[in-house]
Amino acid sequence: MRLPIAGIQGRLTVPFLGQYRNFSHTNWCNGPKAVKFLKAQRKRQVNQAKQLKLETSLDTVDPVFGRSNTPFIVRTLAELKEPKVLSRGYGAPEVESLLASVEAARREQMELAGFNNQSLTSETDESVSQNLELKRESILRILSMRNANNNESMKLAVRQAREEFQRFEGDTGSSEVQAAIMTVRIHNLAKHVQENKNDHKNTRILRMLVQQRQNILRYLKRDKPERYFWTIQKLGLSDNSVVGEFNMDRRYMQDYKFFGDRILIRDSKRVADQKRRDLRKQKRSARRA
Amino acid sequence: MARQNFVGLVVSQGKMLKTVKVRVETKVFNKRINKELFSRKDYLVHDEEGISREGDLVRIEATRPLSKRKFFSIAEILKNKGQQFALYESEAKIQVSQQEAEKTREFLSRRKAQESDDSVLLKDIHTIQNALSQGKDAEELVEIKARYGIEHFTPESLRQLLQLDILALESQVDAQRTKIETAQQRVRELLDNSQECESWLAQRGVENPASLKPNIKRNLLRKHVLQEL
Repeated sequence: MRLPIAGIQGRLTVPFLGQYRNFSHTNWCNGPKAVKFLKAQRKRQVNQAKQLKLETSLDTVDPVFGRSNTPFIVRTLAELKEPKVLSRGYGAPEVESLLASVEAARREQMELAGFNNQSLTSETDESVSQNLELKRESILRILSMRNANNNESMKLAVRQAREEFQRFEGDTGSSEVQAAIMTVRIHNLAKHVQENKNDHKNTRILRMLVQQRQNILRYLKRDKPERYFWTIQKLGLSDNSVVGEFNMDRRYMQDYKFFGDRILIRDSKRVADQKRRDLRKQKRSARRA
Repeated sequence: MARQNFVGLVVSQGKMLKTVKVRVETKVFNKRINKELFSRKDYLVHDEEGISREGDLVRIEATRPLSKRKFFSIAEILKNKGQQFALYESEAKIQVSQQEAEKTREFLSRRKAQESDDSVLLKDIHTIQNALSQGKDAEELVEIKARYGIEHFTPESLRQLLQLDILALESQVDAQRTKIETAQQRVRELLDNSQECESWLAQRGVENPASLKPNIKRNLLRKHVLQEL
């Protein structure tokens, strides 16, 4: 006897599986609660990344050097390298005047001694002027600020700073002047420390100078706020770098690349991981945006 | 019921639109140590015009809830210290940039001038002396005269040009020195005689000179003596 297979097949049609919910294959984020959670999570991540970016880029003014390319600092340093700026308080006109007067006196003496002007010249006018030029050149070179020692150049820089910040003629002690002079000294000393990284004595002096400048500027903010904002703007500092807590430590030196790319503090594994994670988050949010 | 009312300091501004963070300090009595302690609470506060700045002292007032965390708004600004600071800062930026531009221009022009003038004085003196000894006016002299603003050259004017007058400088220094010495002597005299000193200071508008500290008195004396010299 043959079973009516065809008939059975006709009645028992295999159901199409796609129409039914299969628990093992349900996408887990399709539920309404999960969707809500995911949306919130994404929003949170974006916000966190934004906050992180703000935090790292909010105030990046170096508390020691100030902003780079501050006109006042650039000008003061350029003045020291000028060819005709002389050390020890001499000016180029003075040298000129000296040479001219010596020459004039020589000629006068000649005339008094009874030499005729024409007969006097065994040397021509041209050679005389050449000779004088040589003398002048050598005096200018000896006295040039480029050949002077650091002490002398600092004296000039300090004088310039004082003259720019003084409240009245001859003002040497007002807070602005003190801060400006400290700034000049800080720049000088910081350069030295950068070149001699094992000079711990001077590093300490530099640290104290920076904090002293902070102190005097804080006082100025209390005393004359208008003048304070003018001063910090001119010195290339920001309000945050003056008012905030600061210590010129290894952390600062690494963050602001005081000694270039040298690693002074090695991060612990936890911190390094956290940093990597933050960076990844920032990148991801940037990609999404 | 009256509305809730606090006085607080604006601690954060500019991060949210029309919203600032205000820190309110209140005293809370601690039973355990039997003492009042300060407690702080930060509120998000609505600032419709957005005029308050960090550092302002403000009075805040409760309103209907404006958002999840915001149910206060600024009623008045008691001290606008923060606003002033912000104003000074923005003014300073403009002022300094102008000043610096001018200074830089001055510096560059000075540098240019120094490059161009190459021992002009030396050559000038040379030509003047030539002219003087030969007793005639060279053509170049006209130009030189214009430069120094002198009409007729004599040996005397030449000397002035060169500033050979060292004796005058010396006498100047001497005069200054004597001035300082006389001032010091006068101050000393006044300090020795306290009665005269007090009446002398009182004449110059110093209030109650007897109560001054000795160093301050000395400084005041010196100031007035120098002014009168």
